[in-house]
Amino acid sequence: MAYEIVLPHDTQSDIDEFIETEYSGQADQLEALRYIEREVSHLKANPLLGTSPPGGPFESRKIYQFLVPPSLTGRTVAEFAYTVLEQDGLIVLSGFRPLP
Amino acid sequence: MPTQISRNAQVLKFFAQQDRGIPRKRLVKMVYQTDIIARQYLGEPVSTFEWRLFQYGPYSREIPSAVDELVVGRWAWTQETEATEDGPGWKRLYDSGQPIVFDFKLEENEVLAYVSANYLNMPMDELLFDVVYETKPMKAAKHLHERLPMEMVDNEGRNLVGFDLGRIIKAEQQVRSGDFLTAAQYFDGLRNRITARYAE
Repeated sequence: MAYEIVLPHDTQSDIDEFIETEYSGQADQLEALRYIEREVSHLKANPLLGTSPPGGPFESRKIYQFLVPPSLTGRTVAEFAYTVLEQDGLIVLSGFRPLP
Repeated sequence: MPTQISRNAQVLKFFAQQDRGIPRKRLVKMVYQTDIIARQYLGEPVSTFEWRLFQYGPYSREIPSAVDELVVGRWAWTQETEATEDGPGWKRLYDSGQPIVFDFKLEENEVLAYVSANYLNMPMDELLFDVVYETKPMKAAKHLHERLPMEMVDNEGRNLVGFDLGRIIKAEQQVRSGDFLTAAQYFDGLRNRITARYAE
Protein backbone atom coordinates (compact mmCIF):
# COMPACT_ATOMS: atom_id res chain seq x y z
CA MET A 1 0.00 0.00 0.00
CA ALA A 2 1.30 3.44 -0.93
CA TYR A 3 1.15 5.96 1.86
CA GLU A 4 0.93 9.73 1.73
CA ILE A 5 3.25 11.43 4.19
CA VAL A 6 1.78 14.45 5.93
CA LEU A 7 3.31 17.02 8.25
CA PRO A 8 1.15 18.77 10.83
CA HIS A 9 1.78 22.44 11.48
CA ASP A 10 3.96 21.88 14.58
CA THR A 11 6.28 19.43 12.80
CA GLN A 12 6.69 21.90 9.93
CA SER A 13 7.67 24.57 12.45
CA ASP A 14 10.18 22.27 14.14
CA ILE A 15 11.91 21.44 10.84
CA ASP A 16 11.82 25.10 9.75
CA GLU A 17 13.47 26.14 12.99
CA PHE A 18 16.06 23.37 12.83
CA ILE A 19 17.18 24.24 9.31
CA GLU A 20 17.14 27.97 9.94
CA THR A 21 19.08 27.91 13.20
CA GLU A 22 21.41 24.96 12.68
CA TYR A 23 22.58 25.73 9.14
CA SER A 24 23.95 28.91 7.69
CA GLY A 25 23.70 29.94 4.06
CA GLN A 26 21.52 28.81 1.21
CA ALA A 27 23.66 25.85 0.15
CA ASP A 28 23.85 24.29 3.63
CA GLN A 29 20.19 24.88 4.36
CA LEU A 30 19.13 23.32 1.07
CA GLU A 31 21.48 20.41 1.70
CA ALA A 32 19.92 19.79 5.10
CA LEU A 33 16.48 19.97 3.50
CA ARG A 34 17.55 17.41 0.90
CA TYR A 35 18.72 15.02 3.63
CA ILE A 36 15.46 15.26 5.52
CA GLU A 37 13.38 14.99 2.36
CA ARG A 38 15.31 11.89 1.32
CA GLU A 39 14.66 10.25 4.68
CA VAL A 40 10.97 11.03 4.39
CA SER A 41 10.92 9.25 1.04
CA HIS A 42 12.60 6.21 2.67
CA LEU A 43 9.86 6.21 5.27
CA LYS A 44 7.22 6.50 2.61
CA ALA A 45 8.68 3.49 0.81
CA ASN A 46 8.95 1.48 4.02
CA PRO A 47 6.85 2.61 6.99
CA LEU A 48 8.29 -0.28 9.03
CA LEU A 49 11.67 1.42 9.36
CA GLY A 50 10.83 3.04 12.68
CA THR A 51 10.90 1.36 16.06
CA SER A 52 8.14 1.38 18.66
CA PRO A 53 9.30 2.08 22.21
CA PRO A 54 7.74 -0.67 24.33
CA GLY A 55 5.79 -0.40 27.54
CA GLY A 56 3.85 2.83 27.14
CA PRO A 57 1.65 4.98 24.97
CA PHE A 58 4.36 5.24 22.32
CA GLU A 59 3.84 1.58 21.47
CA SER A 60 1.30 2.66 18.86
CA ARG A 61 3.75 5.10 17.33
CA LYS A 62 7.17 4.75 15.77
CA ILE A 63 10.43 6.61 15.93
CA TYR A 64 12.77 6.82 12.95
CA GLN A 65 16.32 8.04 13.34
CA PHE A 66 18.49 9.32 10.53
CA LEU A 67 21.62 11.27 9.71
CA VAL A 68 21.68 14.95 8.82
CA PRO A 69 24.63 17.00 7.58
CA PRO A 70 26.81 18.22 10.50
CA SER A 71 25.16 21.36 11.80
CA LEU A 72 26.61 24.54 13.28
CA THR A 73 26.26 23.05 16.75
CA GLY A 74 27.61 19.67 15.69
CA ARG A 75 24.33 17.81 15.41
CA THR A 76 24.45 14.90 13.02
CA VAL A 77 21.38 12.84 13.91
CA ALA A 78 17.69 13.66 13.96
CA GLU A 79 14.51 11.67 14.37
CA PHE A 80 10.87 11.65 13.48
CA ALA A 81 8.02 10.37 15.60
CA TYR A 82 5.29 9.09 13.32
CA THR A 83 1.98 7.32 13.25
CA VAL A 84 0.72 5.14 10.44
CA LEU A 85 -2.99 5.63 9.79
CA GLU A 86 -3.72 2.48 7.81
CA GLN A 87 -7.34 3.33 7.02
CA ASP A 88 -6.47 6.79 5.70
CA GLY A 89 -3.32 5.65 3.94
CA LEU A 90 -1.38 8.32 5.80
CA ILE A 91 1.89 8.49 7.66
CA VAL A 92 1.68 11.38 10.09
CA LEU A 93 5.05 12.86 11.01
CA SER A 94 3.94 13.95 14.45
CA GLY A 95 7.30 15.01 15.81
CA PHE A 96 10.78 16.04 14.70
CA ARG A 97 13.82 16.66 16.83
CA PRO A 98 17.56 16.80 16.40
CA LEU A 99 19.46 14.65 18.86
CA PRO A 100 21.75 16.46 21.25
CA MET B 1 -24.77 21.60 34.36
CA PRO B 2 -21.98 19.02 34.09
CA THR B 3 -21.55 16.57 36.94
CA GLN B 4 -18.64 17.47 39.17
CA ILE B 5 -16.89 14.60 40.85
CA SER B 6 -13.38 14.35 42.13
CA ARG B 7 -10.53 13.38 39.86
CA ASN B 8 -9.94 10.19 41.87
CA ALA B 9 -13.58 9.12 41.55
CA GLN B 10 -13.41 9.83 37.80
CA VAL B 11 -10.48 7.46 37.40
CA LEU B 12 -12.30 4.70 39.29
CA LYS B 13 -15.44 5.24 37.22
CA PHE B 14 -13.46 5.07 34.01
CA PHE B 15 -12.19 1.59 34.87
CA ALA B 16 -15.59 0.48 36.21
CA GLN B 17 -16.99 1.42 32.80
CA GLN B 18 -14.46 -0.80 31.05
CA ASP B 19 -15.04 -3.91 33.19
CA ARG B 20 -18.47 -4.34 34.74
CA GLY B 21 -18.01 -5.52 38.31
CA ILE B 22 -14.27 -4.88 38.32
CA PRO B 23 -12.74 -6.48 41.42
CA ARG B 24 -11.25 -3.96 43.87
CA LYS B 25 -7.86 -5.66 43.75
CA ARG B 26 -7.61 -5.22 39.97
CA LEU B 27 -9.14 -1.76 40.06
CA VAL B 28 -6.48 -0.55 42.47
CA LYS B 29 -3.69 -1.97 40.32
CA MET B 30 -5.14 -0.37 37.18
CA VAL B 31 -5.17 3.04 38.84
CA TYR B 32 -1.66 2.52 40.19
CA GLN B 33 -0.38 1.59 36.72
CA THR B 34 -2.14 4.65 35.29
CA ASP B 35 -0.28 6.88 37.72
CA ILE B 36 3.02 5.13 37.02
CA ILE B 37 2.72 5.49 33.24
CA ALA B 38 1.38 9.04 33.47
CA ARG B 39 4.33 10.00 35.63
CA GLN B 40 6.72 8.31 33.19
CA TYR B 41 5.34 9.97 30.07
CA LEU B 42 3.62 13.13 31.29
CA GLY B 43 5.62 13.90 34.41
CA GLU B 44 2.61 13.82 36.72
CA PRO B 45 -0.01 11.33 37.86
CA VAL B 46 -3.60 11.23 36.67
CA SER B 47 -5.02 10.70 40.16
CA THR B 48 -4.11 12.29 43.48
CA PHE B 49 -4.06 9.00 45.35
CA GLU B 50 -1.15 8.61 47.77
CA TRP B 51 0.27 5.18 47.15
CA ARG B 52 1.62 3.06 49.96
CA LEU B 53 2.99 -0.44 50.26
CA PHE B 54 0.36 -2.81 51.58
CA GLN B 55 0.25 -6.57 51.89
CA TYR B 56 -1.10 -7.08 48.38
CA GLY B 57 0.95 -4.39 46.71
CA PRO B 58 0.32 -0.70 46.15
CA TYR B 59 -2.75 0.73 47.82
CA SER B 60 -4.11 4.12 48.78
CA ARG B 61 -6.18 4.78 51.87
CA GLU B 62 -8.19 7.27 49.78
CA ILE B 63 -9.62 4.50 47.57
CA PRO B 64 -12.66 3.76 49.80
CA SER B 65 -13.70 7.42 49.98
CA ALA B 66 -13.48 7.76 46.19
CA VAL B 67 -15.62 4.62 45.83
CA ASP B 68 -18.09 6.06 48.37
CA GLU B 69 -18.28 9.25 46.34
CA LEU B 70 -19.33 7.24 43.28
CA VAL B 71 -21.84 5.20 45.27
CA VAL B 72 -23.43 8.18 47.02
CA GLY B 73 -23.77 9.98 43.69
CA ARG B 74 -25.24 6.82 42.14
CA TRP B 75 -22.58 6.75 39.47
CA ALA B 76 -21.58 3.28 40.57
CA TRP B 77 -22.49 0.60 43.06
CA THR B 78 -20.53 -2.02 44.92
CA GLN B 79 -21.04 -5.65 45.73
CA GLU B 80 -19.17 -7.42 48.46
CA THR B 81 -19.02 -11.11 49.20
CA GLU B 82 -17.56 -12.55 52.36
CA ALA B 83 -14.61 -14.89 52.21
CA THR B 84 -15.57 -18.50 52.78
CA GLU B 85 -13.74 -21.78 53.03
CA ASP B 86 -14.35 -22.16 49.30
CA GLY B 87 -12.74 -18.94 48.24
CA PRO B 88 -11.77 -15.36 48.93
CA GLY B 89 -14.20 -12.49 49.39
CA TRP B 90 -14.73 -9.98 46.62
CA LYS B 91 -15.35 -6.29 46.48
CA ARG B 92 -16.61 -5.35 43.05
CA LEU B 93 -17.39 -1.99 41.56
CA TYR B 94 -20.18 -1.72 39.01
CA ASP B 95 -20.70 1.29 36.81
CA SER B 96 -24.30 2.50 36.97
CA GLY B 97 -24.36 3.57 33.34
CA GLN B 98 -24.89 7.17 34.42
CA PRO B 99 -22.58 9.29 32.24
CA ILE B 100 -20.36 11.95 33.75
CA VAL B 101 -18.17 14.66 32.26
CA PHE B 102 -14.57 13.55 32.54
CA ASP B 103 -12.00 16.32 32.72
CA PHE B 104 -9.01 14.27 31.59
CA LYS B 105 -6.54 15.89 29.24
CA LEU B 106 -5.95 14.27 25.85
CA GLU B 107 -2.67 12.76 26.90
CA GLU B 108 -4.20 11.45 30.14
CA ASN B 109 -6.93 9.80 28.10
CA GLU B 110 -4.27 8.11 26.04
CA VAL B 111 -2.62 6.72 29.18
CA LEU B 112 -5.98 5.51 30.54
CA ALA B 113 -6.74 3.82 27.23
CA TYR B 114 -3.30 2.21 27.17
CA VAL B 115 -3.66 0.82 30.69
CA SER B 116 -7.14 -0.45 29.95
CA ALA B 117 -6.09 -2.14 26.69
CA ASN B 118 -2.99 -3.75 28.14
CA TYR B 119 -3.83 -4.69 31.72
CA LEU B 120 -7.58 -5.07 32.10
CA ASN B 121 -7.62 -8.67 30.88
CA MET B 122 -4.14 -9.68 31.95
CA PRO B 123 -4.14 -12.62 34.38
CA MET B 124 -3.86 -11.23 37.90
CA ASP B 125 -0.67 -13.07 38.79
CA GLU B 126 0.99 -11.79 35.64
CA LEU B 127 -0.22 -8.24 36.33
CA LEU B 128 1.11 -8.40 39.87
CA PHE B 129 4.42 -10.17 39.44
CA ASP B 130 5.44 -9.08 35.93
CA VAL B 131 4.11 -5.53 35.95
CA VAL B 132 3.12 -3.95 39.27
CA TYR B 133 5.75 -5.50 41.53
CA GLU B 134 8.39 -4.72 38.92
CA THR B 135 7.76 -0.97 39.06
CA LYS B 136 10.55 1.04 40.65
CA PRO B 137 8.50 2.51 43.52
CA MET B 138 7.39 -1.00 44.55
CA LYS B 139 10.95 -2.26 44.44
CA ALA B 140 12.18 0.73 46.43
CA ALA B 141 9.68 0.33 49.26
CA LYS B 142 10.92 -1.78 52.15
CA HIS B 143 8.36 -1.44 54.92
CA LEU B 144 4.65 -2.11 55.07
CA HIS B 145 2.52 1.06 54.86
CA GLU B 146 5.50 3.07 53.65
CA ARG B 147 4.69 5.76 51.08
CA LEU B 148 5.78 4.64 47.60
CA PRO B 149 8.32 7.03 46.06
CA MET B 150 6.28 7.50 42.88
CA GLU B 151 8.24 10.58 41.82
CA MET B 152 11.26 8.40 41.06
CA VAL B 153 9.70 7.46 37.70
CA ASP B 154 8.75 11.02 36.71
CA ASN B 155 9.54 11.66 33.03
CA GLU B 156 11.42 8.38 32.69
CA GLY B 157 9.49 7.40 29.56
CA ARG B 158 9.53 10.90 28.10
CA ASN B 159 13.31 11.09 28.48
CA LEU B 160 13.74 7.66 26.95
CA VAL B 161 11.54 8.34 23.95
CA GLY B 162 12.68 11.93 23.54
CA PHE B 163 9.28 13.23 22.48
CA ASP B 164 6.57 14.86 24.56
CA LEU B 165 3.37 12.82 24.36
CA GLY B 166 1.15 15.89 24.66
CA ARG B 167 2.88 17.58 21.72
CA ILE B 168 2.69 14.42 19.63
CA ILE B 169 -1.04 14.05 20.25
CA LYS B 170 -1.57 17.73 19.46
CA ALA B 171 0.26 17.29 16.14
CA GLU B 172 -1.84 14.23 15.30
CA GLN B 173 -4.94 16.28 16.02
CA GLN B 174 -3.75 18.99 13.65
CA VAL B 175 -3.81 16.41 10.88
CA ARG B 176 -7.35 15.34 11.80
CA SER B 177 -8.46 18.97 11.67
CA GLY B 178 -6.82 19.51 8.29
CA ASP B 179 -3.91 21.63 9.54
CA PHE B 180 -1.19 19.84 7.57
CA LEU B 181 0.76 19.74 4.32
CA THR B 182 1.80 16.73 2.31
CA ALA B 183 5.54 16.07 2.32
CA ALA B 184 5.82 17.26 -1.29
CA GLN B 185 3.94 20.50 -0.55
CA TYR B 186 6.00 21.17 2.55
CA PHE B 187 9.45 20.51 1.12
CA ASP B 188 8.73 22.38 -2.11
CA GLY B 189 7.49 25.33 -0.08
CA LEU B 190 10.47 25.30 2.26
CA ARG B 191 12.87 25.04 -0.69
CA ASN B 192 11.21 28.04 -2.33
CA ARG B 193 11.35 30.04 0.92
CA ILE B 194 15.07 29.35 1.42
CA THR B 195 15.83 30.21 -2.20
CA ALA B 196 13.80 33.42 -2.01
CA ARG B 197 15.43 34.46 1.28
CA TYR B 198 18.90 34.37 -0.22
CA ALA B 199 17.83 35.92 -3.52
CA GLU B 200 16.81 39.10 -1.72
